[in-house]
Amino acid sequence: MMLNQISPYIDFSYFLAIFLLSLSIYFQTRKMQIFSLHRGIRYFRNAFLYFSMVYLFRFLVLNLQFLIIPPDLEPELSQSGTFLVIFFSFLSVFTLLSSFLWKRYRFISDNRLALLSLFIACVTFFIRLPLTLLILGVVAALFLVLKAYDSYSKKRQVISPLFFFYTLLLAFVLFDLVPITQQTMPFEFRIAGYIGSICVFVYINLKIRKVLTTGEDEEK
Amino acid sequence: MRHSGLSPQRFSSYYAKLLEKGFLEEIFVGEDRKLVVLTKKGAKYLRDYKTVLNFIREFEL
Repeated sequence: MMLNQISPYIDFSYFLAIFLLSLSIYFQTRKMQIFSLHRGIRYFRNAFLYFSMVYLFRFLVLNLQFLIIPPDLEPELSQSGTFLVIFFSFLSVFTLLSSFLWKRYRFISDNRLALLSLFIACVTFFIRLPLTLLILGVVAALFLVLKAYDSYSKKRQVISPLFFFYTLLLAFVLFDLVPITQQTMPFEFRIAGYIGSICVFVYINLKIRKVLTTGEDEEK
Repeated sequence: MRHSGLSPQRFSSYYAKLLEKGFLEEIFVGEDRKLVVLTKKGAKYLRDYKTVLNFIREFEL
């Protein structure tokens, strides 16, 4: 009973925290993007902008009843919000993957990523196939494990940011985006997942801060 | 010029551009001597460039 009462507040805090942390990554890397016009940096920061959109829309859908809107419009807005959550989820995952794959695969472009995400989002939403999210998540995770193995065999580096991206993607796709896991998961596991996701975002924020601070210190 | 690995023509072109953009500055010492120094703007550019390179390496972009 108690858990049911505090659960919406925890969800609210979690969505807000991830929204703000994602936006922070986007704005912290702004100067670097303007300075370098590097494609990898552009994909990286855009991925976090899309992540923030995912959590903004999730937050809005969740709190629709508290907004001052006509009750008959609520179902339509909820459906539109859910579609946008699915679309931005795919777009953010693909854009994050593109941030380190763009050199190898020249066909990657913003328009293609957006079109592919739109297509898969339509399939998932209109055919009501949440399983596509799960399958895609597993494929993305396997792909990242292979990439990490490839990186390890070349650089002999066990701890690499790639593992954190891998954790991030798994946390998002398997934990946050698949409705089945959210409904069936015990409250304690959900909290652990929330904390894990927040830790990944805080880690990335700190890592970016560290790179920027080193540059600023040299300037002083 | 020797260390840049560029042809004389290309070197002159890049050198002129760096002077024009204010990254380098020529200081004349006496009649026949000339010093080439990095300006504040040039030093800032190099620091920013290094930060970007560090970022790209850290995140394998």
